[in-house]
Amino acid sequence: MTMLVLAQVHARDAAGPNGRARGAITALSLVLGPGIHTFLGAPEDGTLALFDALRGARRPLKGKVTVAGHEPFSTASIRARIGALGPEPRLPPAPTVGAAIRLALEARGEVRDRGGAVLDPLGLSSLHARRPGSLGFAEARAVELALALTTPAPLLIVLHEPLADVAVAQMAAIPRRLHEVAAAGACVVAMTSSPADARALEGRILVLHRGFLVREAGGGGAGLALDEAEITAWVREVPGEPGVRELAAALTRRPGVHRVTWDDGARAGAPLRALDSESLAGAGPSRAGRAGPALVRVRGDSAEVCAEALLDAAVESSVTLAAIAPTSPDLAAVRAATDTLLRMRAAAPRASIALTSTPLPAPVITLASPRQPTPLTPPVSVVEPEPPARETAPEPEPEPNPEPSPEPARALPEAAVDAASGAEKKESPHA
Amino acid sequence: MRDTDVAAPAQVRLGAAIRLGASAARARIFRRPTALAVFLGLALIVVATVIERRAGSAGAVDRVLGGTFRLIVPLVTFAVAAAATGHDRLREAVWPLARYGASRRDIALGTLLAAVVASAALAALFAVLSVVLAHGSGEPPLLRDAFQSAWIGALTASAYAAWFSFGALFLRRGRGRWIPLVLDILFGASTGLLGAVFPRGNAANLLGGAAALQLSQPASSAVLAGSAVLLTLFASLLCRE
Repeated sequence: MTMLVLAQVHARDAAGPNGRARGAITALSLVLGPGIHTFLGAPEDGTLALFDALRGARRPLKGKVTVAGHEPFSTASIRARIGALGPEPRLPPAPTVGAAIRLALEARGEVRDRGGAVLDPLGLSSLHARRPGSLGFAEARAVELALALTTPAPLLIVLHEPLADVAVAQMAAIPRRLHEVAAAGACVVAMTSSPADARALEGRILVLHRGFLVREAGGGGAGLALDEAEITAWVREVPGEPGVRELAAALTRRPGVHRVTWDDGARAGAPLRALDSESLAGAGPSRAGRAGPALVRVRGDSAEVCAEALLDAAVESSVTLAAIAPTSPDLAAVRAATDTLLRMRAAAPRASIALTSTPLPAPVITLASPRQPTPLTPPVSVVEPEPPARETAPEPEPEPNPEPSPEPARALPEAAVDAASGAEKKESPHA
Repeated sequence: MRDTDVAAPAQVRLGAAIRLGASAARARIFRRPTALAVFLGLALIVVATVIERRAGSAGAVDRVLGGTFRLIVPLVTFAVAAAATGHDRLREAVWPLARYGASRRDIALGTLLAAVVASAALAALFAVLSVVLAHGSGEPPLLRDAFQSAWIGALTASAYAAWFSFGALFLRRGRGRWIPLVLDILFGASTGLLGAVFPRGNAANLLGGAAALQLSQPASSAVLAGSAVLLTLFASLLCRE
């Protein structure tokens, strides 16, 4: 079932100084159905402009946004079925939070007072009697989030940074609730500048880049960055026994590991230290009396290689691991990867380099291409992966950098781009 | 029951939306800055009364009322109208409720009505206080004088509130509300066309002063009432979906 349709939408926000635009979206065409769809990008990439257009706060400059066939900007009854969490909380003016919620429920057309049912699921009951003006930023956003998540018969839930700056004790409740809403048939659209949050929402990740929808990440956010994989492990340190330093030393001897950084937690906020085998030769026992958790980050060829190396090193050094988690790239790494992919596409126009790393699953129907992405010639395809060209085949997982660098991915120099393009062509079964 | 199982709500009705807009405006008006403006207005009236009565009790009521209608009523009404819209553009002021599905136009109408009613009530209070404090021997009967001043004040403030609310449709953060205030101060007391359009000239006419365009007092009353009604409706219509 189609919920949300954007047809050649040009829009901009008013979040800059003196109401000037901070970001814009250009010629965005998109059809989304039920499910969780996360737009990854900064406000400068157009996330705020898209947010304002979706929730009906601002009419697009060009094009049309429809939710269930109606424009939210001009159809009040559709807005009643759109839940929204904005970047700045704007609760209805009222003497107390409870009264503000009652006003919101009445504005939605709800006749019964279920103010408690709004705040309770997120553990916000204590805010009921507070003055809205006394709420902190995160508390006010949490109340708005609670209102958004209890939208009756929701068609669209659109959330800006749902996992940041919300004073909710059980953050895991938010993705869980979003999945419930999506499973009930609503289209959930989230905007975030955090790749980690985008992954935590466990939906489709669409990358907004300078106003264009340029690519989609794979499942679990795979392929967001071109850098090699990184894993973070938390180490249970026991005074007098081998700890994180020994583990780091053992890791540097593992094949496929490119870089190891560690923090013994001795000083809160201490920077991670980069290690190599030589500097660790005389590493002594770990210090007792730590101030923070000891952790080690391993970067290598792939997540599997890193995990295997980590486990082997832990056994070798007799260190107990408390937890392991993949490290999300930051937005800069995602942007660099996007820039690199776009440059590769521009440098090898005949090579069909898919910017979506996985085939688009239902319910998304199309991601139409921007008409004229100005910095690029030819235009970057953001449609579903095209059928294989005569001389090349689309790669499900772009691997443009044949020799992974220990540094985060940056825009490649021309030679590197050419080499990457060549590698892309060589791998083609049709070459 | 899960919230997603709740049936789609019915569109909120006109009356309910107006009440919502009025509730929101009331919550914005009943705050410290507005209270401070009202307190300053009351203090100015007391000070003006003391000064005028020292100057001579004859005609003190007229002089105090003149000051109240020239200065205090417009400025306090300006503060109330600005507070009702949250010191923002009218379209932005209605968004916190309109985002939940109420009509922008209806919310705006409720907001403006609240501003008009609050301004009228405060102006009536100021007028009555001016009459009561400055009343002396040889003046018309206190009750009749107070009643007449009260309705003139209420009518004048309603017109002012409508003008300021209409102005709040324009410029960033509704700074367009300054335009009618400045025009009223500069040209409202004239006996020309602008004096007949803006509240100041008509209020002066109703208080026994010079009439703009030789308007009769009933005509001035009609202009004030008409501008209050028409500008309120027009401003809310401009906020429609």
